[in-house]
This record gives sequence, C-alpha cells and structure tokens, in this order.
Amino acid sequence: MTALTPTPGAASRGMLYRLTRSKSGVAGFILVALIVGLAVLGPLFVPDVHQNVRDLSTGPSAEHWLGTDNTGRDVWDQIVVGGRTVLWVGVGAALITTVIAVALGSLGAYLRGRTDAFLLQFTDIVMTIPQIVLLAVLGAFFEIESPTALAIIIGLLEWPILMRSIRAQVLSLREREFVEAARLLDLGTGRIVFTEIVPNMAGYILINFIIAVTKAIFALVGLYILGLAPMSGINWGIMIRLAWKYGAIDLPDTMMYMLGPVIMIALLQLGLVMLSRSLEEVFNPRLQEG
Amino acid sequence: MVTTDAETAAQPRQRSQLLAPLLFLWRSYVLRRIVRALFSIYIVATVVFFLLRLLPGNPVEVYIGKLTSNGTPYREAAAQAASLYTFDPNEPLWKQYLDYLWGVAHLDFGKTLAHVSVMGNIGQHLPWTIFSVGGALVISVAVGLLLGMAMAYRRGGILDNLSSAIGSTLYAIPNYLLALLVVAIGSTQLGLFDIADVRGTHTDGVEIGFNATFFGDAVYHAALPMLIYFLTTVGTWALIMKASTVQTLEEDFVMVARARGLGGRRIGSMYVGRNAVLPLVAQIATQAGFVVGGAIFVEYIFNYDGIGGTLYAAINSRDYSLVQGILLIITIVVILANLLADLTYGLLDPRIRTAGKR
Amino acid sequence: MNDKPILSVNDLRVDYRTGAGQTAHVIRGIDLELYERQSLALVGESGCGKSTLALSLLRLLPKLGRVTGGSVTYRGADGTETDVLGLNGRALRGWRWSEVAMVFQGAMNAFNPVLKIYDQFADTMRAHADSKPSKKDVYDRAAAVLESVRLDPARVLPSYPHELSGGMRQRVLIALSLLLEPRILVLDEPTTALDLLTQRAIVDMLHELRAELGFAMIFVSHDLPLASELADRVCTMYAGRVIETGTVADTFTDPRHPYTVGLIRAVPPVHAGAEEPISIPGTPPDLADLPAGCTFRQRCAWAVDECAEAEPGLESVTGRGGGMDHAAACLRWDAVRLHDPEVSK
Repeated sequence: MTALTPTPGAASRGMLYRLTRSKSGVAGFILVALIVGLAVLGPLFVPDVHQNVRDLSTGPSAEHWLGTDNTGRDVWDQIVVGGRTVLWVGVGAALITTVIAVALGSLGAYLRGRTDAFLLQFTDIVMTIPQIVLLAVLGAFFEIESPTALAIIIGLLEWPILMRSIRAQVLSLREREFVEAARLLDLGTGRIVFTEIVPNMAGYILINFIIAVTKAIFALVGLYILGLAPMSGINWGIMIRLAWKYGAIDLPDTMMYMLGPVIMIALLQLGLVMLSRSLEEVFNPRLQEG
Repeated sequence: MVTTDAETAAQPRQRSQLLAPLLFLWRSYVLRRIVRALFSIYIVATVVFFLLRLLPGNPVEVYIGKLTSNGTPYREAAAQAASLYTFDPNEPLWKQYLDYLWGVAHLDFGKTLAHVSVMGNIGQHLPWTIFSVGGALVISVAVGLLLGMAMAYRRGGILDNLSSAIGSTLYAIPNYLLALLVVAIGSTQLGLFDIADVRGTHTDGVEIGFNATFFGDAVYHAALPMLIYFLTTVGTWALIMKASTVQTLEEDFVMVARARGLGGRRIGSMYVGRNAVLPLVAQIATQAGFVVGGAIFVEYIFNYDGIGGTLYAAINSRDYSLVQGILLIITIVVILANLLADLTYGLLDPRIRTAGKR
Repeated sequence: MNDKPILSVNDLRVDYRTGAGQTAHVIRGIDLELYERQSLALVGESGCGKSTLALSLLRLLPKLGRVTGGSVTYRGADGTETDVLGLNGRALRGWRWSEVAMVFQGAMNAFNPVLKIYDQFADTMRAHADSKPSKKDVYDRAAAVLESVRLDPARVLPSYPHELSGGMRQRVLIALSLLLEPRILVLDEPTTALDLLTQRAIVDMLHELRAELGFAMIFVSHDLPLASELADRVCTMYAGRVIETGTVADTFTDPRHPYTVGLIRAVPPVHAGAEEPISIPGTPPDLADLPAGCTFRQRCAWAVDECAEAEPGLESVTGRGGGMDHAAACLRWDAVRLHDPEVSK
C-alpha cells in the first residue's frame, strides 16, 4: 500500500530499503544488472567476433571458452555481443505496451461510462486473439527488416492484459481523497489522470513494465527460434535458431553453442521475474505476510 | 452498510412490466456471454480478412504470379487462385467480404495450396493439440490447485517455500527454452530418451483408433510437449491458488464453519476450496489461450504434428488460406474456452446466476 | 439454578504476534464465571480484547494468536468438567456448537456464498451426528429453529445467502446457532451493521428465545444500552483485562472504574436536553508495549501518582471483603462517581 500514498518520495525510499531486505529481490536485481551490463558494455570489449575457419563446431577450449559454431565463430564472443538486440526489443516493446496500457486504462477507468465500456470491449477482443500466433503470421508476412520494427509490432499487440490491471488500479485510486480534491479544484481530466493518478501508480506501473519486458523477450526469441524474425547480425535469438538448425543440440561437444544463449535468456527472464515479484511484495505488504 | 429486510431481494423484480421479457433476456448471463463470444468471433474474422488483404504482396496476386511464371495462362491461373478461396478475388471487396463471412459461418475457409479443404486439414491436426495442450492443462490445473491450497494451509513451511521458488523459476523460463533444455540434457547428455524416436504425434504404422496400443503410443509421443506445458504452467497455478486460498481462509464463513464443528475435509473442499477457485476460473481460460499460442514453439521443437506445427509449415510455404483458417480456428477455440469458463463460473457462483449485475 | 458455573475462565492469557515481530498481550489474565441461564455482557472499546476473549472460548483464535496461560473449564449438563483448552480434533469439533455456539458480527460473511442455506444447516447436523441424518430430519429441525426466529423455512432454506437481506441473514445465523440446542450462546456484536428497526427485532427475539430455551449468554458489545438490556452482569474490559464487573444495575448506576464512567458518559443521550456525550480523551495503550502501573492512567481524570506504581487488581467495592459481586480494578474506586461535578467540567 505504501506505493499508493500521495507522497511518492517517502514511499520509494521505504521501498528501496525493503527491497534490499528481500533476498530474491536482491538476487534478481544483481542478475538483471549483470546481464544488462554485459549486453550493453560487452560489445565495447569485443569489437569483432573471433572467427577461425579451421575450428568448425569445436567444443570448449582455452582459446574458445565455449567452443565455436559451425562457421568457426567464437560462441562466447557471440554471447557478449548478442544481448543488445534482445534487450532493446524487450525494453522498446514494453515501453510501447506500457504507454498504451496506461493511457487507455486510466482514461477508461477515469471517464467510466460509455468510453470505458467501449475500451473494455475492445481490449477483450484483442485479448482473445492469441498474440503469439498473430505475431508469427505478421512477422512472416510483413518481412520485417529491423528489430525496431519488431519491437513496435510486439508492443502494439501485448498491451491488453496490462490495460485491464491498470484500469482496475485507477478505479480504486479514483476514489482516493487527493483525486477527489483535484476534481473539486476542476483541474481537467487529462491533468488529473497524468499528474495525480499516474504518478501514484508509479510502482505498480514499474512492476508491470518489467513483466511486459519478459513477455516481449518471450515473443521475440520465440520468433527467432521459428526463423520468422530478421536473421541478420548476431544475437541470442539468432544463435539459438542457428544452433538448432545446424544440429548443435545433437552433439555434446557443440552443446554450449545452444545452451549458452538459452541460459542467458533464461537467467535474464528469471532475474526480471524475481525482481518484479519482490517489488510486488514491497508494494503489497499483504502478500508478504501471507 | 445498512440494509433493510425488504431491500436486497425484492428490488430487481419490480421493473417495468413491458420491458420485463427483454430485460430478462439481456440480464440472462448465459445469453449475454454467448452473444459476446459471437461478436468477438465476427470482429476477429473481419480483422483477419482485411489484414491479410492489406499485406504487402496480395496473396492472390502472388499466387497468380507464381503460376503464370510457370507458363500457366493468366486466365487459368486466376481461376485456380480463386478456387482456393471461398470468395472470388475479381469481385468487388464488399462482395468478397460477405462471401468470406458466409464461409466462416460454415467453418469453410477455402482450400490449401495443395487443394485440400482447409477445414479438413485443420481437423486432422487440431485434435493432437487439443489432446496434448488440454491434457497437460487439466493435469497442471489439478496439481497446481491442490499444491496451492497445501501451500496456503502451511504457509511459511518447507513445501511452501520450495514450491514458490521452483514455481517462479519454471514460470520465468520460456516454454521453448525449457523444451530445448529438455532435449539437450535429457536426450543428448543423459540419453534418457531418443529425440528422433519421440518426435511426431504417433509412430508410423500404428493405426489410429480406439485401442490401447494407439493410446499408449499417442501418450508416448505427447509426453514431452505435455511435460513442457505442465512445467511452465503448474507453478503459476500453485501461486495464484495459494494467494486466493490465503484470502479465503481469512473469510468469516470459514471461521464460522470451524465454530460449527465441521470437519477439516469438508471445510477444505466446500468452504475454502470452492470459494478460492472462483476467481481463478476466468484465468484458466486466458491461460489456455496463451498455452495454445505457445504450442507453436513447442510443437515446432518436438516436431509434433499439431495445429501449431501446421501453422509454422503454412507460414513458411505462404499458404495464406491455411494460415487464415488456423488463425481463425485458434481464436475461435480460445473464445469458446473463455465462454466455457464464463459459463462454468456462472454454475459455480450462485451470485452470478441469479443477479443480473456483476 | 445450579450453584456451580457452567463455564469458568481462570487467569486466561492470549498473545498475538504482530507484523513488526512484536508480541501484543491481548488478554492479560482474565477470570470469568458464567452460570446457567445467566447473561453476561463484555463491554469496551474496540481493541480491548473482548472479541479475542470470545474467540478463545471456542478455540477459534487466528494463527497469529496463542493462548499462553490459564484455563477454560466447561461443566456439562451431567456435571462432567471439560478442559476446553485441552480439547483437540474430534473431541473439539464435537464440543463446538453442540455445547457452545457463537453468533458472529457481520453475518453478511458468516455464510458460505456458494452453498444454499439448507446445505449449511445440513453440514452442521451431519458434523455432529453419528449416522448421517436424513433430509427430512435436517429439514424438520432447521424449519423448527427458523420458525423460532420468525422466518419462513420454505423461503429461506432453498436460498443462497446473497438472496437474503442483512437482517434475515442475522436471524438465520441465530437460528443456526440454536440448531444443536447449545447451553451457551456467545454473541459477538450481533446487531452491529443492522438498522435500528432490525436491531430492535433481534434484541426482542433474543429475549424470547432465552426465556424459552434457557441458554446462557455471553454478549460482546461496545453498545452499552444494548448490553444493559440483554445482560444480567457486565464485565468492562480495558487493555486485555476485566477492570470492572458487577450486575447491570450496579455497573450502570454506580460505576467505580473511571473507564466505565467514561464509557457511560460517551453514550449519546436518547432524549433532548440531556448532557452532551463526552468521549474519553486519548487512545488505548499499545498492547505490545504497555506502560507500568494502571494502563488507563494517562486517560484518567482521577489519576494520582500512586497509579503509576503497580497495576491494580479487581477489588470489591461493596465493602472490603464483601465478595466480588461488584468489583473494580482502581486504586481510587472510592472516589470515582458517575456524576462528579469536578470531573465533568
């Protein structure tokens, strides 16, 4: 409940403190920080992926820590270089999702009546279309060239569930005194929503943003594995796709070509989920007690 | 909250006599849900129609182009292209749209590139997905609910902490990565199973029919996909059920039931369990849709010949009418699952059944 | 009337674990005696421990609460004594409701929303029967108790809880509590959340039922007028202890604990022209961190320096050694008066 009090500053200080007391929250944070650090800073240290055309599909060695792929490229170098796209698409899509969800959710809940009913109906329908399936179809037929375009499409499809929970949150915030006060002052809908309500949901939005990142990464990597996303460059998704396609998984020697990126993505997702879970506990002390 | 004796029960009954039957129909929970489901299907069908026609490289043109480049005369190629659809691409758009809707209403989605009925094709593959996803989901929900209740009853205990940790971890890992890990570790490293052997829906030569051999074989081939569906969903169920049970345990009626001297089993099932499950019913349907969507990855990795694997193949061969049909059918299945959940909810919660309002 | 109490509580102590890892002493050594056909009221502000006391009598404390000392003894109709705190499993379930039943506050949520009223009656009978009672047996018995609270069984039994109004539900709950003919009925704020008319009807009904069925009653309320109407004896509770006990007449006309005085003065006057209600200043003490001495001293107009030294025990106010018929836990009971011109200013 702390997050919902009208003093975000004080609340977030308490929040950080409590977050540091949750073991899984700290572990999640460290995990995410390490992977993000590697993905963002790593490419500075590995300007070129080492390639040795005589060492095709080798196992781990002193020279190639995680072995090489079927074209002789160093797997560890690829892992260091290949995180950026995944993160970029994950964060970008999640931003789009969150913005749409917050805008529609808070407007619907704030205005209520017909607007709300319409938005809700619309959301319900979008929600029934299995997003992954639609994404696969769009991904294949639109011949997407860049990861950014992919981020936009993913972002445009993933918002409905988030919109519903934001709406529920605003509905309860709406009844709070400080919103009441703002309404009495006649501050105008947009202003009340975006200066009074949204800041008070900051923690809640943050949690949902993190969850949206995990969902976007799930969709993105899935598309790569099916080979329906642009296959140029090096990233973890492409690595898994190629490793799968060229049978790296069938030989214990080249296993790291497949397992490396799989483990990176799995750890990233795990870290994000742990982080969001413990944030949830911090914002919602009831859960903690239970 | 002050309520008088007469208030709550009598109010809905005293409405305008004339509108009563109409209001009753509208209030009827079941009817409203069905209308909503049909409306959703209509909207999705419309979106799919225009979406596929707006795609770069109109699928019909592309197909005609391919045929003519092979030496087929244009007129013949156009006729062949048209024969794949339930509408004539040369007609005006509104006519195409109506013909298409008429087809959808009959579950007629035209023909695949191989000139077999799309619906027939789907009919061959969908049952495998429904069997594997549905079966796994039933097991996962059942195990998850029981586990979640046990966790709530003994919260803070070893079972609770261990299940929470494992459940969150499995939930966090995408199903396709888990599938890859299972193949990599189970087959390549440990040799627990031969991935080449368990691929597909059933072993060649095993007759499809109602007999133990076929059923055993089907389970053998579905086991890995089902394991993945199960592992990636069971933790979520356990955690949601735990939260819901913890809340229900705090309800007054549970304490009153204890005061009344009821046995633990009766309280656990009819007082705690049934009320704790209520808010989960709707989520089960949403989750079902999600798992069906995720089936495309899992079926691809295990080469399981269900609807997801078929969709993947259809996308790769640019088989538009098949893609369109599968997209629609999956959506319809999800909408029907939601409808089923809504109706089940109505059956489980008497408050929904009688009162018109939510 | 029997000369031995049917329920006696000796030095009962209950602790609660609080969120911050502290321990709140919610019940701190309570002695109570309930005789056959007697009606005892427990009054006090919310948080004084009266509901916790009621719950611990039926062993219904939530997980965070724990009995740390004392005993509760129940004397059956045949004179056998039962150590209530020692009951477990089957024996406890069998004892509950058949000997001591409870009417909870907020009957809105006292019923399982997904079961028909009939099923909830049937559940209760089945739990206490050696062989499964027939549908007819259940129906007949349920109909009998429902008629005794003036409800139509044909309408109520096939209904779901949400189809009944708040007042009806409270009556159904009272009927349900009488189902097994218990000897003691514990009522926890039975009329809160009901409108005045319904409250009136329930109080009248309880009077009649008690006269007819002869159960003893423990009545928990913050509503003093209601307590004075329904009870024979009153125990005033503050910070987990009984600080005054006496007959209704003694307690309300000549209270000897400043807290009881405060509670009576805080009752809004029924007729115009009477004195304004005066609420007690201050708030109850933190049960996890109690001050030394009398726990009421900071809010008390009669407090003197000695009050900070030790927490006073119950002491007879009908004259030293004159029995505990009217007793108060106050050093200055002699000086305390309901209408004290000096203090009421």
